[in-house]
Amino acid sequence: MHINWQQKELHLKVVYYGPALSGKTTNLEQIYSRVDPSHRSEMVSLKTHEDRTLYFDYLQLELGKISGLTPKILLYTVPGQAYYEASRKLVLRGADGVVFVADSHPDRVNANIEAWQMMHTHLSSFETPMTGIPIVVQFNKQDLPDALSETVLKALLHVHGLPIYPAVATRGEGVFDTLKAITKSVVAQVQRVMAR
Amino acid sequence: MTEQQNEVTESRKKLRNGITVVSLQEDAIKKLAVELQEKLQTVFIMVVDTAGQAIYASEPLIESKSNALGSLLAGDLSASQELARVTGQYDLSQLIIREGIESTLFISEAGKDLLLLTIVPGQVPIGWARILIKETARQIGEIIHTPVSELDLLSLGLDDEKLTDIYEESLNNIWNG
Repeated sequence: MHINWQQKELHLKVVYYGPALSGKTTNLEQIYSRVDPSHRSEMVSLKTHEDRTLYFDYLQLELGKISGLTPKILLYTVPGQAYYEASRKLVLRGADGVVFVADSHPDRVNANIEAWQMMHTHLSSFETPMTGIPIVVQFNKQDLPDALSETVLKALLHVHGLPIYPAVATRGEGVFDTLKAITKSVVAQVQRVMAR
Repeated sequence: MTEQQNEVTESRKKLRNGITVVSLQEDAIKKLAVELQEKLQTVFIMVVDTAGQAIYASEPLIESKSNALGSLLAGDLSASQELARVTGQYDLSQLIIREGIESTLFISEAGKDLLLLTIVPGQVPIGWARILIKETARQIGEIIHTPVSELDLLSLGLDDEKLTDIYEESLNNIWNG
């Protein structure tokens, strides 16, 4: 969290994390296309020639003034490919909240588990335990004919107790619900920290 | 400092990886940047936080350009930092120099929370620019950790019980569906 005192702005950083091709960038693209242009930035994407995220995607949302502050939500994705693990860690640093985008395809179970565990490792290295940062889980690609069910995915990832949202990001389904959920969780966390 | 102010300041320190910039600090950063601009006849100076959020720019930028520049700047320095860590070369006060024909670009750490971008005309000696930029970056890094007495976060409404609902409503208002 960052407060620009002069401009009375509250900045919250949310990172979309997950395995390669799980739909992280698609989430941001859907948000970009569906948010009133006067309330969002341009989307910054650093991609390879194969259209894969090289470093990160970035999009900023600006909400109307709330109490004394103008909130800005900074959305980032991490590169999904394991090759870019160091970059993923960098983008994750300083996050106020994380959306874990899991791939519901049965062949991607191991990739989901590996990404989940690496995220845990990275957050721990920042001295930010999983319990200390809001996390929302999205089970994307639920339109696949052989998509794993929510129950199965929850058991595989051991994500009990976290907010879960099924999604078909390519159609925008579940994208906004996920965004709202992580935003509310982050705001609640900020309030808890401030109240201490 | 009153007891309440002490409590507020304590709360601030507990925030995760967050910094708070107040107007006095921004004024001081601007003053240092202007001094650097005069000494080096810089083309452009920008101060951003490690997440890429612009705090100061020597000339107005449209928001989208400011966002893009800030993000890339943070990413560039972060990559370099990680590269240094991986190779065992990491040290504080890192400086990246991108030498060009028309101008030279310096990206430097300003403490652990801020970054300083300085673009200097090509005819300015790099060694001279490097010394002044490193000193300015050091001072900026110190400013941001100067205790702030005017902080009053509670007056910003962050203690509103319905704050999460208000945020949800605000998101609903900007979503076209």
